[in-house]
Amino acid sequence: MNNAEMDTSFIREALPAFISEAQEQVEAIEQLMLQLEDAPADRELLDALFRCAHTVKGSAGIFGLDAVVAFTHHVETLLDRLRDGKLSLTPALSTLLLQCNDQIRILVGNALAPQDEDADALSARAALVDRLRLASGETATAAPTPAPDAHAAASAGPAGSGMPSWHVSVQFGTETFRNGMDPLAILGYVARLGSIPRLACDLEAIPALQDIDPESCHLAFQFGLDTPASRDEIEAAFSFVRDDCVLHLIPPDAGHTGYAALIDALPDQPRLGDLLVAVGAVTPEQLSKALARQDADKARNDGPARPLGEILQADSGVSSQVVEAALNKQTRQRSAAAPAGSDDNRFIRVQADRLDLVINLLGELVIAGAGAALLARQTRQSSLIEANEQIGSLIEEIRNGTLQLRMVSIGETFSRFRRVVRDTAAELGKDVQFEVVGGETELDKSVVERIADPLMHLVRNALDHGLETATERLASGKPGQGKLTLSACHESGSILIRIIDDGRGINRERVLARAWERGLVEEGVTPPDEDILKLIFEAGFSTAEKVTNLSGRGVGMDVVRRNIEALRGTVTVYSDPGAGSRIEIRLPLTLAIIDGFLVGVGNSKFIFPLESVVEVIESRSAISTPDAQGRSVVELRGRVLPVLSMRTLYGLETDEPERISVVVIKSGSHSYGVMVDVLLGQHQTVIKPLGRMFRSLRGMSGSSILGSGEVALILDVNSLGEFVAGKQSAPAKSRDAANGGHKTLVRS
Amino acid sequence: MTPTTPSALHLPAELTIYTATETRQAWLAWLAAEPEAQEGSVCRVDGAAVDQVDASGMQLLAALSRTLHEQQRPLQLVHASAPLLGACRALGMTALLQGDSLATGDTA
Repeated sequence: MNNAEMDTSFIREALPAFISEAQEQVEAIEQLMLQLEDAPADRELLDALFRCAHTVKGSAGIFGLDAVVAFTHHVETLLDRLRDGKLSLTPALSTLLLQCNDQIRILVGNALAPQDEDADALSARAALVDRLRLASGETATAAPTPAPDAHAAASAGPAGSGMPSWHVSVQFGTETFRNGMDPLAILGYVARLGSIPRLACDLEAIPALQDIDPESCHLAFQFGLDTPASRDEIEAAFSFVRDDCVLHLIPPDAGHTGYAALIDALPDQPRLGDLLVAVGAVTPEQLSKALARQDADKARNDGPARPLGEILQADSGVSSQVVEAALNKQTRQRSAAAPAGSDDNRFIRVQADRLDLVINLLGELVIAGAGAALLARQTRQSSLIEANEQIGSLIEEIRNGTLQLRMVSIGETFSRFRRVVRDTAAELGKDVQFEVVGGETELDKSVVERIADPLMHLVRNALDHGLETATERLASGKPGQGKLTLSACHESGSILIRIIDDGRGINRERVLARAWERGLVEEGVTPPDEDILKLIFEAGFSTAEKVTNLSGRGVGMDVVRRNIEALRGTVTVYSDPGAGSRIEIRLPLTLAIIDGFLVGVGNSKFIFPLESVVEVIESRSAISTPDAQGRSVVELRGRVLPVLSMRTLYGLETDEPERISVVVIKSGSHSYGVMVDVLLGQHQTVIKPLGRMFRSLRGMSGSSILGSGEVALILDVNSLGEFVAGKQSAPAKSRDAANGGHKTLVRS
Repeated sequence: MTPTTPSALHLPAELTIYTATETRQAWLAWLAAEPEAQEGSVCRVDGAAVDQVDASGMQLLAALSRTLHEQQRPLQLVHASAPLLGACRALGMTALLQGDSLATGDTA
C-alpha cells in the first residue's frame, strides 16, 4: 500500500534523527542520575529524569522499536515509584538505573542496524527487567507487557511533574467502534506524549446493558495531561477520530476561563461539572457555588440560565489582570515549546559539513578581502579605502560569528567523565570526589571531539595510578576521599585543560629506572627532574607494576601526547611526590582562523597568534652572543629575556637591516622575544595546514596566504618557547625543511 | 459465558468489539436467569479469563455495571487479569474494581 510505503520511507529518514535525539536523552539521563545521587530528594531532577525516559519510550514507540519501549517502560515504572515517594534512591538502585540506561543506549544503538541479539544479551536484559520489577515492588499480577500507562484517578498524585499541564476533554463519536478505532489505544498513545495524572470517564453517559447498542461508542473522558508537547502534537494523537469526536484542549495556565469555555461548549454534558471536580480541574466549592448561583438566576429571571462557565469564571474571583498574565505566560510557553517540542533550549541541527563549507568559503573571503584592501590602499583613494575597511570589519564580525557556531562548551565532554570516575572508582575500591571547573569554556567542536579520548585516558590513569585507596591515603595522613579535578580555562588564545589529582604523585625513581630498563635514557644518566616526568610520554612506557584492565589497554601515554600534538596542542605533567599530579593540556581554540600578527624577516613573512604577542620593543644590543641557532638574551626592564633570531634559526640569507624589533611573546608561564625586521601589523589569518612534507616541523603550526598572494608561515609559539628555553633542540632537518619549505611555498 | 454458579459472572476471554453483540446477549440472558438477588448484595464478576480487551468491551462492562447499579447491586470485578486491569486504569474505570462503579458522577 502507498501508506505503508510512505511510512517506511518516513521511518528511514527520521530514524537517524530519533537515534541522535534518543542518545542525547540517554546522556541526559546519565547526568541526571549522577546529580541525583548527590541530591536524592531533588524533585525537579526526578521529574526531569522521568521526562527523559518517557521521551525515549514515546519516540521509540513511534518508530516501532518495541524492545526499547518494553524495556524503558520498566525503567519508567521504577522512576514513577521514586517520584511518588514510594521508594527512595539508594546507591544500589542508582547503580541499577545506570545499568539500565546503558541497556537503553545499546538498544537505541541497535535500532539503526537491527541485528539478532544473542542469548547472552537477551538474558542480561531479562535479568535487568527482573531486578527493575523487583525494585519497583511489582507483583505478578501486574501487566507483563507495557500496558497503556495512563494512571487512574485513584492513583493520581498531585500534578507536579514540572511539565505544562493540559486539560483534555474528549467525547468519542458514536461511530468510533464501527470505524475500527479503539479509544483505549488512542488514550494509550496520548499517554506517551507525557503522563496522565488524572482521568475520569463519564460512566453515566453509558446506557444500561438492556438499552445499549454495543457497537456504538458512548465514551467521553476528562483528563489532565502533563506533556511538553504542543497543541498540534496533542491533537495529532486524535487525528484518526478527529472527524467524529468532540475534542477540547485547555492549555496549561488557562485558569478558570478555559474550563468555563469548556463547560459552555458542552451544554449537552450535564455531568461535566462533576467530572471536572473529579479530575481536580475545579474545586467542589467553586462548583456548588456556581450551581447555586445558576439556580438563583433561573428563579429570579425566569429566563434562560446563565451558562455555568460564565458563573464559574465570575465566582472564581480571578481578576482580568490575572487572566491576562496567565494568557501571556501561556503564549510564552507555547512559543518556547513549539519548535523543539521537548527542549528547553532552542537548537537547530545543522550538518557539520555544511558548516565546514561556510567556514572554508569564509576563509577565502578573508583572503580576498585582504587582497582588495591592499589594492585599495595602493590606489590611495580614501573613499575606496574606507569602503574596504568597512567590508573588512564586517568580514571580521562574520568570521567571529561563524566560528562561534562551531564552538561548544567543554562541559559536555567533562560531564561524560563523571560516570567513568564513578564506575572506575567503585571498581578499584577507591573513594573519589570528582570536580569540574570551567565546564562552560568553549572551544572548537572538532577539537572537543578529538580531545575526548586522550582526556579519558588521562582521567583513568589518574584514578588507577595516581589516587590511592582510602586506607593508603589515611595511612599517609590524607583525607580518605581522593580528589580529582578537571578544569578548563582560556589562556592567551588557547584553552588550558588541567587534570589534577591529590594522589601519590609520580615516582621519579621508578620512572627513571623504567626508562633505563627500556633504553629510553642511557643507563646511569640522570636527566633533570622535569625531563624525567616527560619520559612517561615516550613510546612503550608503562610504570604500572601490573597492567590493569583500566588504564593498561595498550594505549600508552605516547598516543595521548601524539593526539594532543596533532591538534597543535601541548601536554605537560607536573608532580609533587606524595601530594599529587597535575597534567596540563594546552590546545588552540580553533583549527580554522586566528587573529595574527604579521612580521617580516628579509623577504619572508611570519605570523604570530595575536593573543600571544605581549609587546614589541626596539632592538637593543644582545647581552650575549647568539649561539649557532640564533638564541641569545636581551635585557628588558631589568630582567633577562631570552630572544631568538629568526634569521639565524631559519638560515634566511638576507642582510640584517639597521633597525630590528623584538616581539615579546608569552607562552604559558614564560616570555621570550623574537627578533624580526619589520612589523606589518594585525592580520586575519586563515590557517592552511602545512603540506605532508612539513608536518614534522617544530616551531611552525601552519601557513596562510596573504592578500598579496604571498605565503606566510604561522609560528607555533609554544614549541618555539621550549626551543628558546633550551629544552628542545631544533633538529637540523627542521631548519633545512623550514628554509626549503618556505621557498617552495612562496613559489607555488 | 454461561454462568457456572448463579451469583458469579465469568467474563469471556475476548472482550472486544468483535464479540460485543454476543457478549451482551449472553449477559442479558445471565441477568434474566439470575434470580432476584438481595438488594445491596455485591455482584461479583470474575475477570480472570480476559486476555483481549478494547474500549467497547470496557464500555459494555460499564453498561452492565449500570444495570446492576439500577438494581441496587454493585458490580465488583474480581480476579481481573492484567489486560483487564490495564484497561480499567487507562479508561478511568477503576471504580469497577471497588464495587462502587458509579462513584464518579453519582451526585449530579
